[in-house]
Amino acid sequence: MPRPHTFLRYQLNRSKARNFANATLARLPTKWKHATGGLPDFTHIRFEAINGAALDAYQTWESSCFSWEEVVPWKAKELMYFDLSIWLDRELCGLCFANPNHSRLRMRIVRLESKPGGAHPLRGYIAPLALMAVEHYVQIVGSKAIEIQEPLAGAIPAYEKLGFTFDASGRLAKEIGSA
Amino acid sequence: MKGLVESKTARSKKSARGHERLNDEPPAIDPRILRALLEGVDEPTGVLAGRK
Repeated sequence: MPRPHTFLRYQLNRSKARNFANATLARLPTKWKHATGGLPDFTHIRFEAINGAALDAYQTWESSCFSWEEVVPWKAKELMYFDLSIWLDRELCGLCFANPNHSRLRMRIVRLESKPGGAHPLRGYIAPLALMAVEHYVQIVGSKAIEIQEPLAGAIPAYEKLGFTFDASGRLAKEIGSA
Repeated sequence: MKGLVESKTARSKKSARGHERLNDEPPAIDPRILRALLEGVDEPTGVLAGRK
């Protein structure tokens, strides 16, 4: 059983990764941050944990394929997980849960879902936003690669645009620092 | 003097590109992700990854 300060250290790492993600967004060119004409206003995007507020907002999603409440016991059991909720103002637009493999060298995206049912304001940005935050977390904890578990076929071109490729064993993955 | 050196080491470290950065500054991110953040990607709504 890990010691309490070990749990705290990883909690701090998760928080730091989300703060880095917010800071990275803030550094994007100004003309994009205050976008108009259908583009999201990046200054209103927030990265949070999958907390009570996220689970409450998730309950309002229509026909979600996952039971995100399952993440609660996962979080109690795992040590190095990374949980993420993506908000635009008060609207929950995406949820992500990642966990490392046994060696901790590869961070696996176990679940990634954007708000289902029609268009939401961050459609087209959930995968880039989530993977930017996960990449920050991977850099903090020292993993070497990110793997997408069971990617939706329709989303594979988007992952490839983000630098992911299928390896010899058929896994959709990306080495960190391979750009 | 030693204290000053230690303090600087604690506050900063080299980034992947070799220049010094403060610990609270985000490290460099894959430019392909940054480009996708600016342009968006063609992604469906709903599940993007994971076992249904």
